[in-house]
Amino acid sequence: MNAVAGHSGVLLAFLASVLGAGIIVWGLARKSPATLRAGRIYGWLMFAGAVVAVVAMEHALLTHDYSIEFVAENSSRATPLLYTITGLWSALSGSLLLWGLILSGYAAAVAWRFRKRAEDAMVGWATLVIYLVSAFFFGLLVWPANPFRTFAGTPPTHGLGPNVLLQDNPLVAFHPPMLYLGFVGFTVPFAFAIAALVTGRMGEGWQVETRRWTLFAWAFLTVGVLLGAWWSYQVLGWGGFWGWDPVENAALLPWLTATAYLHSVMVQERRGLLRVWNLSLVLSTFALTILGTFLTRSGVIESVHAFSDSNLGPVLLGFLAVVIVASLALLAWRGDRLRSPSGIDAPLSREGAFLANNLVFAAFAFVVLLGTLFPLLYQAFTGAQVTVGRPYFDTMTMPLGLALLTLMAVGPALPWRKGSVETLRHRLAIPAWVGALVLAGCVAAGIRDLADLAAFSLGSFAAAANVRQLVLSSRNAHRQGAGFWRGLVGRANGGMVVHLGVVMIAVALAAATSFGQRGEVRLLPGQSASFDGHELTYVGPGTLRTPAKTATLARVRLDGGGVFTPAVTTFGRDTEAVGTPAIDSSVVDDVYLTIDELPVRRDGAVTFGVIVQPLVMWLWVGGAVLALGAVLAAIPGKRRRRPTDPVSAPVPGVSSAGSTERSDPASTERSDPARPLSGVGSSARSGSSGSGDALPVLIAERAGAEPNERP
Amino acid sequence: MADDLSPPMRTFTSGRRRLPAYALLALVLASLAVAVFTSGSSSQSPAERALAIERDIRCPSCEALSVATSSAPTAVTLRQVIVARVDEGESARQIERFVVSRYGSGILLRPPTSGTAGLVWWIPVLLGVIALAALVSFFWRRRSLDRPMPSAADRDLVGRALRSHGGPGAPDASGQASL
Repeated sequence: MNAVAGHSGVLLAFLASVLGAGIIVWGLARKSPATLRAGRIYGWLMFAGAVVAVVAMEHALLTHDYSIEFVAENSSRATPLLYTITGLWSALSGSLLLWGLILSGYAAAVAWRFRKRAEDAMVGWATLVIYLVSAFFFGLLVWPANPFRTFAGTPPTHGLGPNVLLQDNPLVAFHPPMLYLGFVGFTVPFAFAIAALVTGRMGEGWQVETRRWTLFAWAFLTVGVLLGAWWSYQVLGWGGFWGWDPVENAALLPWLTATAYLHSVMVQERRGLLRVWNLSLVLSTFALTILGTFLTRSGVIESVHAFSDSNLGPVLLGFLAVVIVASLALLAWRGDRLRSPSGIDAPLSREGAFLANNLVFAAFAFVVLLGTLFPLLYQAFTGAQVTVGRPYFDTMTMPLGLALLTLMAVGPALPWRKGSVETLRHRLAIPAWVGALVLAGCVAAGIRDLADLAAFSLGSFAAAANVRQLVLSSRNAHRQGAGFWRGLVGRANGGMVVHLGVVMIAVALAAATSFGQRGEVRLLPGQSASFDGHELTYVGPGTLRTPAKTATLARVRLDGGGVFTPAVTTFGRDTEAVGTPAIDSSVVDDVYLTIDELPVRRDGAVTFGVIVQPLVMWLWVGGAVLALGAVLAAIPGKRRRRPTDPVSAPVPGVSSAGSTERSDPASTERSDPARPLSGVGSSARSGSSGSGDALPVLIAERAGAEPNERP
Repeated sequence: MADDLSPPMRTFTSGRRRLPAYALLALVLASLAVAVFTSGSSSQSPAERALAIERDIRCPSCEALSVATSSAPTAVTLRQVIVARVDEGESARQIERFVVSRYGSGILLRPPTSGTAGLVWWIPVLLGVIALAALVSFFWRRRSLDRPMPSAADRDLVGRALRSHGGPGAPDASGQASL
């Protein structure tokens, strides 16, 4: 029953995506608005099918319908409710079903958001791309990865339960869905980028349309990756949060290119530059999400994430090849229309900083991609083994990370078009002093490692510079009678909040990895030991039995206060035991306890693994700040009223209601009638500097970029 | 054209503001000098040397963890071997050679910098240098291009436009622009 309902849902979604794609092709070919409008409904049908399938699967999981192979393999009667529900994404075909649900959800959202413009060719093409991608994924669910496959003979009476690592921490309920919301979300900007290339409307229209979609996908991916780090910290027992595991890298790669895009898109909206580059970033972000799926699901790479190998490898690789070839072919075909009307005037400018930022992100992504694929390539060409591990990634990415911290400080202080050393000196004096004092303080505190010193001082430099921007824009907003909070919303200001979260993460990462201490202590019940300034007392052993698991605990009192219980747990009828760490988190440091060796007799001595790492909590706090910043950035900032209003600052004496110092080009973000989807927006700009609207902009930026700061 | 505006700007950040910039530079350089000259990297303790080696060796039964961070039995054993060999005075290279002879070259987490496998280090470095060189030459050429300078008529036009926009002397109120 469940299987029939679920399979029908998947089939409905598949047929809807194929039919929808056909209808849209027909509508585009015939240029028939009515047909194109009719194509919208298939997004909703797809979504309905996916919802039916997911509900059927969850119902099967909750009612222990072991006639379905997937349910028998990934749940058991003893599995607690939460992990029964998350059983949906604890193996390949179920997680593809979740992927399908999210993808069809995005498809329906696009159909709703653009419901009044379905006859627009660009929307039509974008919808077509989304339908085709959906057809691919639902096709996987219909044939090779059918989650509703049933047993041919008599079904088993008991299920196996999910992988033990996936039933030990509630974060498993959040990490994969967040990650998928991010991964899948990049389908929307990808679809619009393809639509822009096909229709030849290369202006900024497609970016403006998809700005928030990209931002939300990026935020979900960021939060998903950080939740994954948190999960691995709490579950895996080695006290780390990032292992440069191939699958972690696969999630990081689209994040890097998407982050680069979120920055460089501002250069294009503002100056019409970097068009090919931006398209390439969006296209490669999507391609990298498919590459990540391929790496995770094909078993070509050994990884802790390879929860199930499958035969999907060749299919996914084929899809990846189609995406890459189609993207490159379209870029080559439209190359002549993509030339920018002008260039970057000076390296010392906002766009120059964004360009540098993009180069660093591109280099970062290249290093991670090369390091991830190199062992495969090396083995293919030489037959020999090589491992590219943490030392490689740490060495190669550290300078890039430091460069990003520097740019985070300098970039926001630079004006568009052309900055001067004087401007920078004026705007960055206080942040630079903050950074220098932190440097001196760290040296005085005995830190000698140059990379750490650079991370802490550049981090505080960047944080101070970003706080300064927020203070200025809040004060500006207040002076214009809008309330301080107005200075925190909008893309640029939200971006500053995101930067603060990133700085927290960078500093915490440097501190935790450089100043962590790990060791072992062997204690009898009642004995105490001291480790890296913390006092551990082994209170005594214990046992915890639930239907799902049996855990041998050791109660440990930390610093004479709370009691923590690291454990060794056996799940269900699994024979292999996994360690369950216990963590005492504080704002200063984390004490991470594991049982490295169980006692022979019940009252015997236990060997504890102890890891003390400073500032770990700030990784998660930084993640929360970052997510908050992303939400603030999505709220519309102050809009300019007329296209000729100065974009940088009010010119004293001019009565136009100028916006704040760094207000973003917010006017482009609504579908302004003066700026339709076609390249009109950019052609208005192509009159190069010195004509049209560029004049007041230039004067405003040069003459009084920061009116409230004048001595 | 924009350069015309910069001389007046220079005046308002000169003098008093230059001194702190030098003080800032001095503070940074002094801190770095202290950090560099007082760090005794040569006098690593045996435990520190062992840890450094352990970080570069993969735990034989794990995917990506080093023996320094893993608590798997194979990692514990290998850790003991490394500590013992460090105590016997073996160099990092000797120990790595021994581990490779036991487990194969895939046991090293840090790929070698020479040979074909060294490409993983050199390709990004090479590309980075090329990208930087291209960028520098791009801006260099842009800079040396003859830029049209605004004529007196242009300035007059701008001045009139400004006056009509914000009343006479509007830009002067900022104390900077004197077009």
